[in-house]
Amino acid sequence: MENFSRRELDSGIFLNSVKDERFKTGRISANISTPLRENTAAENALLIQLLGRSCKAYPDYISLNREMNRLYGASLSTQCAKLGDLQQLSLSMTGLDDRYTLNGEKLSKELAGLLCKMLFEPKREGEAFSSYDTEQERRKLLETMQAEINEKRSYAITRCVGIMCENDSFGIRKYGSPEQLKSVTPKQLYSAWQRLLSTSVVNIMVAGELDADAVGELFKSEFNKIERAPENIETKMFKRDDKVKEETERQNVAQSKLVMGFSCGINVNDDRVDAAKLMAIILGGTPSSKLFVNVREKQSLCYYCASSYNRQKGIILVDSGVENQNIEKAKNEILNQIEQMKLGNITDFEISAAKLAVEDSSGMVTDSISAIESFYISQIFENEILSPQEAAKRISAVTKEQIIEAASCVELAAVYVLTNGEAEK
Amino acid sequence: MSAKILEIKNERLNEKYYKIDHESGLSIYAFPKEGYKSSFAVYGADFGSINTHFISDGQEIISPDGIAHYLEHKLFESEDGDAFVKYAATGANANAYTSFEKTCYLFSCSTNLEENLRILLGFVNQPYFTEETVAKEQGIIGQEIRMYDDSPDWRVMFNMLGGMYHNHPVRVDIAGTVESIAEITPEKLYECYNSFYTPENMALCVAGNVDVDMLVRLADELVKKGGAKSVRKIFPDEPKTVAKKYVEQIFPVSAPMFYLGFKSDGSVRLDERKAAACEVMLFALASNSSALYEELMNKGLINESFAYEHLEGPAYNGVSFCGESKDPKAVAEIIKRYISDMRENGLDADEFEIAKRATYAEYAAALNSVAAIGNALISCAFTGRELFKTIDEIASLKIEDANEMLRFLLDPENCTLSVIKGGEQ
Repeated sequence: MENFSRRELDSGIFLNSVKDERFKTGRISANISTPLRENTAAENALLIQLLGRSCKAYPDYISLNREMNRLYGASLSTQCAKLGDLQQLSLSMTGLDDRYTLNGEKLSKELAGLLCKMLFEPKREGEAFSSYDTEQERRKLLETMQAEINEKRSYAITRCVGIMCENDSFGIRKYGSPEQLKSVTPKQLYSAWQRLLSTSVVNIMVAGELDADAVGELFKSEFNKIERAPENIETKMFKRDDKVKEETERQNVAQSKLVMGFSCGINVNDDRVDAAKLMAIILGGTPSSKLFVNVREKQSLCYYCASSYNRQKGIILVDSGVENQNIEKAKNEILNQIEQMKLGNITDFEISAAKLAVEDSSGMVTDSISAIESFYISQIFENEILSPQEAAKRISAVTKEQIIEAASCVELAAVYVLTNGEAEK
Repeated sequence: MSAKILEIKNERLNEKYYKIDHESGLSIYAFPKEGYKSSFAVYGADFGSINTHFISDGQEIISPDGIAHYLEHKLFESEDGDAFVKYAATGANANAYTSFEKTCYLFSCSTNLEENLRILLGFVNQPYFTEETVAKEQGIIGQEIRMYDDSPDWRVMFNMLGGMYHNHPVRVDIAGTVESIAEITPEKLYECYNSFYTPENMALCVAGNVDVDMLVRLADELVKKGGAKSVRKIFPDEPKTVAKKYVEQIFPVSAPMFYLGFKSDGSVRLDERKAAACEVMLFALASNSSALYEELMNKGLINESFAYEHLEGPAYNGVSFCGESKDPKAVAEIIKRYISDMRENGLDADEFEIAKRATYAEYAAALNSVAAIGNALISCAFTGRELFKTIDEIASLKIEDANEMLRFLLDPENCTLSVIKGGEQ
């Protein structure tokens, strides 16, 4: 079973290792955390894609692919995500574990070396990134953004968060806006790269049986060359305004979307966080949940109705797909289900089904090296780092009274509706 | 009942699994993964869409196209309800699929393995077809067929198979046609079920947190020894050469799509060494670091959707290349030129070594995933190949083996180009 350790290599540079001998492959990733800001979100998002595309030593896809195939078909990926008030940029490498190479080659060091080349020695044109590569990656990122706008379910969630958090950095989109992205220059990317290497907090994550210390040494020697001034990366709890924010947007959609945002005042720094997690699962996290069974199945008010809890911000979101004429009814019924939880109307079956779902998904996490890696990356920013099993155990220990108490903290903050406006009253 | 248990080990990858010959005639494969919480199970019949002509206990039977897939749909219904509803109570994630050569029923879970296996063996072993339930499915499957007819990705591939084969049923859609499924009756379903869903013709593969004794005990209880039928599958005579060199269809697509299929001798099933040679050879020829890929990319003839696949099954064997291209004919000419050149001069030695490592690592990495293991085992069960032997053959492969396979599989004169392009229908 996995065994986690963590130490600081340099100011704001951490080496994290999840030792786990069960896998044939290992993963190394550099996870760059920086405050999510309106003016830098787009350039950061574009930068991480460019860093994953090429480097000075392997300036085009063919030379990079050839090197990775030589390293037993290693694979490289980039990610830009939002974690609380942070923009999290990751560059990850997956490769065969040293124990299984055909001729005893030690791949750990080569994989880490290639990752360092990608991060520290990018392909440059003077003090700018390659303009050809910038255009190619800009086009891809714009396509990704457009695809997210076309995907109405996730679009509606993003819009609701934006309205609810208009004065909170959590409201900023993870890739920034298309307008900003269009104006980013290759020169700007170069300064973004320098800024991030010096001011971000970086978590190196090594998962599997790879030699974490050797990986750490490589990164340490690279960061030694850089003057570091890491920024504070704390996430603030979300606070709702006195008035519920409401917005209805008209678009040509067949099915309307209703997204409701709630504050719950409980985040990772609160002992009640496990109760809040379980409460949100009972509310709308499984096919046995209150929203699924009552709003969807029994009353047929929507096609889907689910809830999620963001424990960094203390936010609960309920999202649903509804017929136009059912928007008001669905909204009232969702509020009623939360009210029922506050009143303690929660059955033993609802609680045990939610706990079973937690146990089941922790088992799935444990058996996948990439899921383990992402699990620990999110744990790093919490007060106490738990294993997937420990985290599931804590949730299993939550009592009905604790669930009711967590539910009593839930307050409506925003309602967003996306509709074509037909069949309205 | 009793069972004969064989342990199959691999030192290089430090793994082992068990092949259990159950007295009922069922082959059971158990691949315990130490330290894993989750499991994957697949229960399948050696009966796919191409098995519409067979002799069962001396009687010749010709069934309507699409019957294997229809049977798969109908098996989920039992007298006491839908199997999906039963799985919902245990939290398992269940599915099924029909391919050219097999029909498989599967689930994954990290709790309640035994209960889920009872559900799986229960509904697959208890067919329940009535006039009414069979008629009800016509509409649902008809919709599925129309969906496939509207899918350019699906059409471009089947148009290629239709061009490659004169008579072999691999040229027919897996789900059949609206007309052919109209002929399906409960009697015809029972005819296929009773011929092919017998323990001798089926396999159960379970990977992950699994115990061999439990599997044997369950099989003792739930798998009954049938009066084994003698079944012989019949395939029509198939000429060596392709039926058509070029097939085109107009479809509303933004970029033209192509499938290029090379037809080879399908009379013998490849053994482990030949299957290994095939995988490595195709990687060396057409991977994302090959000279072929580089030329196609540099000329702007393909994008990242370019892919290749070995097409192999009972009485057919070949290779396909596919992707999007502004000029599919030019792509086909370049691929044929590379093949001709390599038939004469052999693969590049460096490319071969890279391909061998990358292919080996891909097989090794698949052993991380219980689903990948389960699916690989059931394929092996029906092809007669052994999983670890294939991996060992890759590791010890010689370039001569790959060159021989290239000359066997790829004849530049014997291929079909299928193109789908935009325009008025």
